[in-house]
Amino acid sequence: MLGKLIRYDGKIQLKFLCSLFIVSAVVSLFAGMMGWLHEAYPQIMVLSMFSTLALGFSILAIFAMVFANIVYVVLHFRKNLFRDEGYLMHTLPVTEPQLFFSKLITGSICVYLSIIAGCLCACIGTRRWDYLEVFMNLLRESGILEAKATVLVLLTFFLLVPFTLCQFYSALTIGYTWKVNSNSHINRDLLSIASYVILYMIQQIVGLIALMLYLVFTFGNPLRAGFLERMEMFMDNMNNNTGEAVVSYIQGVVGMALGINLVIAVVLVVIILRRLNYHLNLE
Amino acid sequence: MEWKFTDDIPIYQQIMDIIKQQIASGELAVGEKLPSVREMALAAGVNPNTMQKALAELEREGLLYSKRTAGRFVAEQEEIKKGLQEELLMGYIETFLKNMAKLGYTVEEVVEIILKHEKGEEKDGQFN
Amino acid sequence: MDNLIKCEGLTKRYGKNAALWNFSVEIPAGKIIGLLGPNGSGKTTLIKSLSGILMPDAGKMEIAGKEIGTETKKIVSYLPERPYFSSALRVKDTLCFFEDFYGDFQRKTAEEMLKTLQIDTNSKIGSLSKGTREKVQLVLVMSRKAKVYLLDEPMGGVDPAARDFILKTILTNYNEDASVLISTHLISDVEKILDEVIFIKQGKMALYKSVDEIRMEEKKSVDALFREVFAC
Repeated sequence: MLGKLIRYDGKIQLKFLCSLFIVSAVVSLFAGMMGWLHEAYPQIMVLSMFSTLALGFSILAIFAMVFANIVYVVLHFRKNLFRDEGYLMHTLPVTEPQLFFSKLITGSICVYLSIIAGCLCACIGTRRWDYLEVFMNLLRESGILEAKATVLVLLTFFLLVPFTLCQFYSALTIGYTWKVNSNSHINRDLLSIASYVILYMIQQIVGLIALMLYLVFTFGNPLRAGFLERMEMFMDNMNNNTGEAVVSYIQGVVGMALGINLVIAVVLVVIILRRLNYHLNLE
Repeated sequence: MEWKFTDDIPIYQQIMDIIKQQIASGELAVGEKLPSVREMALAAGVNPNTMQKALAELEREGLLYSKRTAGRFVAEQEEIKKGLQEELLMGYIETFLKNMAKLGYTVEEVVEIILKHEKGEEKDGQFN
Repeated sequence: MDNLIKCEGLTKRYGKNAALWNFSVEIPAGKIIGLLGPNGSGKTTLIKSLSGILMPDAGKMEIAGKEIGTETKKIVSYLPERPYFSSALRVKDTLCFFEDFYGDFQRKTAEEMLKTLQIDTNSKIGSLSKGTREKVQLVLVMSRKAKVYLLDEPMGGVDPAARDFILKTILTNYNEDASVLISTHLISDVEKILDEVIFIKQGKMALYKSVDEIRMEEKKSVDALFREVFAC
């Protein structure tokens, strides 16, 4: 059943992505052509203006594509599970987890694809294919490569997509399953937005607390003597990009952030599934 | 297409009346095989359970009979059809006379009017 | 034999109001039952609870001996009051969808019915009129060989000819192992095909009798009795 749901959700979301991609690709192709013409005929002033404009548009198009795709994925979740279509979906012989995970999986895949498509369009538009190198240099300069935290960082970026979707999905789920008197016609979208904001704030606070705890863990009790000295020494080491302590610190921070996010994601999924199983009430 | 029913009598009884009329008038021939309960229910536009109840009652009254796998049939005997016709006739007459009495006519007056009416129909027979 | 549908003490509150209050009923198989009551009486809440898209606050429900869940959804065919297909889908896509997810879906039956109604399976749902869309949904729901059919106001915004078609479809589909629960307030149309009726008033069971019993005891049609019981 999960496979069937994935096929169904996938088809709908991919269709939208494809149409966005075509637009983006065309604009990027155009930008690429303009750029090539400008290089071939540098004396024609108009070409320089056109190529800059075209490039600008193509960058806009790429960002719009990725952004619109995310918005579409989130809206699809809302429309398919909580509006009229919900009457169909929630009466299918499938479990609520299956309904949820098919959306999470297909939504994430669509966002990944849109990012890849965006990169492709960027390459076409700027006629450069060396972005991978540029990315590696960035990693090197920020010290992440040396800290051997590459895997953790990449994993974090990779999991950012489903994690962000979970944020939106959980806000929508809470908004649309919140118990409300039948007399007051509350706007469930506003309720969802409010849920998103509250969840976001809670997560920020949790993150801050975790960071402070980690500081205490690394540098000891801030109330005891020697705390500031230890931090100063650590800062000096950081500036030199040397020292085992620095490496382990960076690994620790990244790892901890990843761990916290994973825990939060699990909590969100549990909340979503509980609300769907026990508090569903389509209007 | 569907049969017409009134509000105050159970539908199965009305179905029975309609089928009795069909047998008496010959619309349902003596010994004829009836369609299945489901088909009849569909034709009449009623619940199959209701149709089944009506047919079962008619069977009890002897107007229908069922042969195990072959289905339901109208009773073979002509006497049954005759008896039904008489029963219906008496019912109509009683209702008619009751209504006439309400209007203030005696039985003799009514009979006279009926005979006159029949003669009148023969005269302009071509217009019938 | 155990009853097909069993509800015990169902309660659903919305603030101070109760859409359903301690509602209990047992419905056997092979019946066509009307769920009658004015707007807001709890008909839709009951049907939504049985179909699994609404959790009551209290009480138990069982269909064919199982609790409401994936297993019951396999044998329950639900027709809600509203359109539930995306406008972008074509009619034939909805046929494929039902075929995919429901093992008891009879595609041939559905296609024949659509042909009789002269509905082009290639047309987009969004391009159909409201009445036609409702007919499509009804065709799909009735083309399943389910054990329980839950029809929520199936004749709401539909013309009289279509209403006849709906009633005919319900009768044609009749099966002793299944039961049909029709919630409606268009009683006179539906009365002839009902075995029994349930009157629901302010979330509580007001009456559960067979149509014949009502006519014999009250000497009036269910429609007339309804007007009495629910007089404003």
